[in-house]
Order: sequence, then structure tokens, then C-alpha cells
Amino acid sequence: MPATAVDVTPHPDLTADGIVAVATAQRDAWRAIALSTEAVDRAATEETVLRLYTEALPEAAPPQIIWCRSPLEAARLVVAEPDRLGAPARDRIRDLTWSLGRARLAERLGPREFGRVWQAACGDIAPLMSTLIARISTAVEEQTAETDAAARTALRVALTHAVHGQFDAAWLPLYEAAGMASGLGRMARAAGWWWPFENAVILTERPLALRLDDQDRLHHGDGPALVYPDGFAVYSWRGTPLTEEFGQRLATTTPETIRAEENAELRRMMVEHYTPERFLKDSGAQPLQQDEAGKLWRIEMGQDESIVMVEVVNSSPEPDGTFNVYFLRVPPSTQTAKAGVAWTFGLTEDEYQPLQQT
Amino acid sequence: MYRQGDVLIVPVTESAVPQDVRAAGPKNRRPRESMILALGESTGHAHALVATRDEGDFYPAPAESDPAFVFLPLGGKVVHEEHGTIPLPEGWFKVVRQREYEPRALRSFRVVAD
Repeated sequence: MPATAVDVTPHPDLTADGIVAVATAQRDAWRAIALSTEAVDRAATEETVLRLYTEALPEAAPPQIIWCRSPLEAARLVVAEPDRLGAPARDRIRDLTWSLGRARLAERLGPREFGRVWQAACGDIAPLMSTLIARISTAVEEQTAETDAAARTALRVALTHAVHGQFDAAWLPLYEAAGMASGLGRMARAAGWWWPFENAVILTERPLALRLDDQDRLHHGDGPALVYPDGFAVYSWRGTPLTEEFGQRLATTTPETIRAEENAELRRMMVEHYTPERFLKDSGAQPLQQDEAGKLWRIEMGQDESIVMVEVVNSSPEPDGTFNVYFLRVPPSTQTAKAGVAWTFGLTEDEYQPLQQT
Repeated sequence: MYRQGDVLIVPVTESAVPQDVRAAGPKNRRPRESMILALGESTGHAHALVATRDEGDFYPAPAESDPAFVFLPLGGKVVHEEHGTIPLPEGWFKVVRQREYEPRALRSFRVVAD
């Protein structure tokens, strides 16, 4: 493989600490690449992929380029048109760089240092990348009826030929920091998933939206957490997969739909999305109890645990002289507002005695 | 004990500081750098502790749900952009972040950040 030898050989001057330093400096940039929802520059991507083909398969004719709007559209095309695409080429275009690069880097650093350097370069982002790849793959399969086992298997096989583009941020930060895999790095920056075959390459758009919560879980209550330009969508609440039907229903939650939902877990998602505070106000609830700490509110939820909240007033005034009111959800067993506020700080009602509050 | 928004500062005896927190040691800080007790997620405003004559140590919480600890040999003050300043006497303090209840099926609680 003379053309890509440079791409799989660690830069001779780099030490383990040197690689860690470069990777650390690039961490935020790689996260932005991985989570990018920018529209793809098709011309630039095509140029990049053709260059990669020339390097990896110098003898072959340039592949035909096919654009798809999502991994679903691409996987279906892979299943539908095997003759047009030719044999899969991921092994030569991507896997060889991955495995040779890994072997040479491990040889250079030794097994212990390799582990440390890998963790420093990719450890933060790799779990998120594998979760996203798995969620998208499952969603692609689930677009076909469960009863059609043969069609699902065909899609699963098609997915094994994909290169994950931006989600290759699970390992490329290490390779690039070591001076390797530059062509695949350019592709990660250029587009979404792509499928290299001998006669053709399928390139796909990036998602239009990719929404995570503060713990890096796919999460959105007002529509899909992940959606591609053709409408292929993944619904998710704090990482829990939702059906499209419930995902759409969640977006239009009302106090009535919350009360009508029979599944406790789904009902809790609906309450959290609507916010317990709004649910309480819109349900015509009355405060149960009041003391110097605030007001205690409660809504009975039938078989499920009650929603209990304390309404507290901020001790420091806003710039306009008014005082902000906010609600904190507390355990259902809470009897007084003061006990509720004490619980929020891990104390009992008797223990909670602030000398000064601002 | 003193409360500034979503942070509660409780005077404690030195013996109340957990072994693992003491063993992990105080967080290094540059001279005159205030100790950040908690950072607001949306506003970026911080509950910051300023030690009198810059004498003090901050022991970070081992996990988000655990308290942090502070030692102020000469006392200090807690400041925040949206809350009144609270003067603190000398001694050891436990710093507790306010949490909110969430039904067990989802998450047991989460930290509040103003």
C-alpha cells in the first residue's frame, strides 16, 4: 500500500505525551465535528472521497458518486442495487488504515502507554459515538416490519459496510494526533455516513438536528432528537428510545393527555416535559401547607406516586425589585414546605436552620 | 448555616470532613483566585468564595451528589452576581448543592443550578 503508507505510520518524532497534548488541544474541535448538523458541501466531499479512492485503490477507475439524505436511504440502496455498487470496499478504504495504524501505534507506544494515550485522546467521546451509531443502526432496521426477518437481516448486513464519517470521532482524534489517517479525518469533517464500494460510493448528508441532554444522552421532547433531511428520525427521552407515535404525542402534551396516559414511565416523561410546575398550575391545584420556607403543593396521580413541590421565593430581589418564585420537586412523602426545602439540601426539617439567606 | 440561592454552606468540625476528601487534598489554585463552589448551567454565574487574605483551601466534591468542603483559617465571603454577599467566620464548612427530586424510574435526583 505505498500510497497510504504515510497515513498508517505514526509521526517519528511524537512521544506518548506529545500525542496526548495534541489530542487534548483538539478535543473540543473533534466534538464539534462529531455533533455537526451543518449542511454538507457536496463538491468538496466528492473531491475528498475521490482522493481517498486514488490513494487506497490506485489501479481502480474512479467510483460513481451517489448522494443519499440519510443512513436509512443509503442502507436501502445498498440492499436494492448490489450490481450497480460492486463489491464492498470498506476493508481497503477504511479498515486497513484503522488496523495497520492501530498496530503500528501500539508497537511504538507499547501496550500500557497505548491504552493511556487512547483513553486521553478518545475516551470522552467514544461511548457517545458508539451509542449514536447503535441507535441509528437500530432505527434503520426498525423502519422495516419485525415480521420481515429477511429484509431486516439484509439491512443489518448493509450497515456493516458503512463508514461512520463524523462519528469516527471515536478513534480518529488519536490517529490524527499521531499524524495518521488524514484522508479519513477529512471525510469525518466533510459528511455523514458513507458506503465505499468498488464501482460506486454512497455519501450521505449530516443530520439536520442532533440533540443531547446535559449527560450526553439523545434527548428532546418537542420532536425527534435526531433527524435527517429525508425525515428519517430517532425519538429519545434522556437516552430512552421512544416510538415515533409517542415521540410525537410527547411534543403535544397537555394536563389531559398526562392523566389519560396509562403507562407510568411514559406519564413521568410527559410530566417532566410539560414541567411539574405548569402541570400543577394548569390542574387547578391548591397549596396544601405554607410556612416561612414557602408553599407546599401536591397533585395526586392515581396509581402512580403523587407530584409534590415546594414553591419558594428567591431571597435576593431581581434588578426591577421583584422577587422570583420557583418550584422544586421533592419526595412524595414531604409534609411541610420547610421539610421540602431541607430535603433539597440533604437535611431534615429540624436540621435546616439558615442564619442568613441571600 | 448560610444559604446563597442553590448552595448551602454549613459550619462543621474538622473531624466531620470525610477521610477520602481529606486524602484527595485541596484543589490547587493560583494566588487571588476565588474558589468556585457552584457554576450556574444557564447563566454562567458562579457562587464564588473569597478567602480573607487569600488564606483558604477548597476540597472538591468526589461526585456531583456529594458535598465539597472548605477551610477558611481567617474567614471569608461568598459572592454571586445575583445574590447578596454572605460573610463567613473562620473554620471548616461543608458546601451542599441543592438537588431536586425525580421519580425513581428516571433519575433519583438532579443538582439545581441557578
